[in-house]
Amino acid sequence: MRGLTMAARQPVVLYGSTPATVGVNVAADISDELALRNWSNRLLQIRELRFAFETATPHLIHDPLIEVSLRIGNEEVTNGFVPIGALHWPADSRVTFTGNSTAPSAAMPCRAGFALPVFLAPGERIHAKFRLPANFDTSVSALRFHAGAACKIVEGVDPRSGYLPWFSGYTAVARTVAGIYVERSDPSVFQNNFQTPLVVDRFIGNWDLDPTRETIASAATLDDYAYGAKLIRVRCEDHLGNQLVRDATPFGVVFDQTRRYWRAKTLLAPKGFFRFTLETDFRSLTLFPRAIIGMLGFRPSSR
Amino acid sequence: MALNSANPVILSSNVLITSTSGPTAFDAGALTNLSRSPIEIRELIVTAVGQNTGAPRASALGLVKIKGKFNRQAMTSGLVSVAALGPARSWEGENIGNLPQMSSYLSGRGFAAQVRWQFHRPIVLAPGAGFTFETAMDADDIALLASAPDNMRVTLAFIGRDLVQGAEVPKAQLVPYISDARLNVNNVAGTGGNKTFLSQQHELTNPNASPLTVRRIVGRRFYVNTSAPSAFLMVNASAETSNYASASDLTKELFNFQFPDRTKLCADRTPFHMVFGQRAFIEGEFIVPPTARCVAELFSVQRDYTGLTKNNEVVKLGIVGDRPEVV
Repeated sequence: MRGLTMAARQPVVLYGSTPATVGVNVAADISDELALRNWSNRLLQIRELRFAFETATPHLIHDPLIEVSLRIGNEEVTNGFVPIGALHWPADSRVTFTGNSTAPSAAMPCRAGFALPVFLAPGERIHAKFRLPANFDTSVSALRFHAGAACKIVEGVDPRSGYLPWFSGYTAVARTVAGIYVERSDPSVFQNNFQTPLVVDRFIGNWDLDPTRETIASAATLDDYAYGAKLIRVRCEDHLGNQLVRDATPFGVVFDQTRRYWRAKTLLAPKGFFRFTLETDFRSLTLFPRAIIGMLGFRPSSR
Repeated sequence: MALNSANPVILSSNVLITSTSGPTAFDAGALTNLSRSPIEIRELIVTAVGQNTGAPRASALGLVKIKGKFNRQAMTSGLVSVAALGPARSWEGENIGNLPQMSSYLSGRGFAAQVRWQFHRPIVLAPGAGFTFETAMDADDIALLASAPDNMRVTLAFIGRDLVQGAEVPKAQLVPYISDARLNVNNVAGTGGNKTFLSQQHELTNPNASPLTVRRIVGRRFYVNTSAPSAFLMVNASAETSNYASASDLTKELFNFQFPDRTKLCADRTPFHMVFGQRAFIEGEFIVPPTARCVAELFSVQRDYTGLTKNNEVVKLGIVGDRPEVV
């Protein structure tokens, strides 16, 4: 299959999957030689990355907290392990990390689309590693990770004119006691570690639905927009003290309640950073959702 | 107030169809440009609304087919499923009023489904020119259902804008074209074993004299409930409905697609939902020469339906693009 001559602009899907051990933190790699590799002999443009998780038994999921580490070719494109909830925005909120309490369950493929051209050279590969959160549903009997990329062939394009994505993510502190909390992301999380300005395309905001594995009914309640609208408020500033979000603003307003992202389209200077402040009012709750914030940026590719 | 040259225009027509009515024509006059200036048409929106209310019924998106022409040029390879026309806006949007678990609060409502076919290049309709379309329900799908689906009102709406009087109408235009395929993934219940389903000779083909440039491949998966109430819902990978157990996991529906030059979309069989994603389509361009065809392959892993109420699913696929008009 590899090395086939394909037509210009022809679609190509790359895919790989791997089993994982449930109940412990594992780093799983996709070992198949063809998996997630550009098996054509043409340059590919990656349009969308997709992830999914599949279990053999019903479970109430922590999928947004499953962490992924990605490389495109030899280049790291995630800031270490990043929670899936930080790099995914759904077509609509109902397909976010959906689990099923009565059926073997698979989350709908998460998706991260690229607004700028990201290329994959012939033979080059996307390396994906997954890590389970410490509190993942231990009743699940088997789990499989899936990763894919929707691509198309491009021609007449200099690969060096492309970009590399840069994902980083922040997960709020897990809370177990009702109360009011304020926390800030560390500057190193949303920092531009490169020598060139980072084109920040969007910030992504999700939350873990059911951290304590209560009933599905509780999860349904937690999925209410009220959580985003009322209980988690967000501020954001950059390294120069500029206030991107000056006043504490509901999570579901900063991150569109359906699409779950904020299309910021801004530049971040080298060594610059963004800091998010979360103000949460969990006084009336017995279950405590965890906010997950992500940033998708692009840097010029010199490959 | 005088109309200006960029006025938006919608040409629309609707008909009521039943499960036995067969192909029913839309009013050709309503889909004709009756003004003195050309009209530029950018997309077709197909909407189907059930005529009854109450418990969830068969999805219009899954069952309705259309067939049409522009300037005596076929736009469809016969009657094609509207599910193959365009991307999903969202999974939820595909299933409004249909979800069993939503029935408690949607009780008393009917259902609707809508899909958009966006044209790569607008069609310019000269004064007096128009579309001729007809619609019907898919008899093969109806045969799978325990009870006849509701009557449906199907509406076509061509969306565009007026051009100035005397604006030039291209002699040969790009005609939007779709060829579809239907894979009935049945007979895998119980001890049926693993099976491979291939699209047929007349499906995903270009029967025209001019090459077809495909702009996207559309793919949706529906489950069929063979007991009442009838249901024909688009499913996502997590199979929202609880009685779809064991058919839900990704690795039991593996897909690949062969282009006319025999190259393939995926290096190996790939989970259907990883190919088409949340929005039920994949973008890209390829040519289907006259009389050539593509082949879709679905590998269905044996599953245990013991105690379950359904044992059929149907996959609808479309290659959607355009071809030069043959003058």
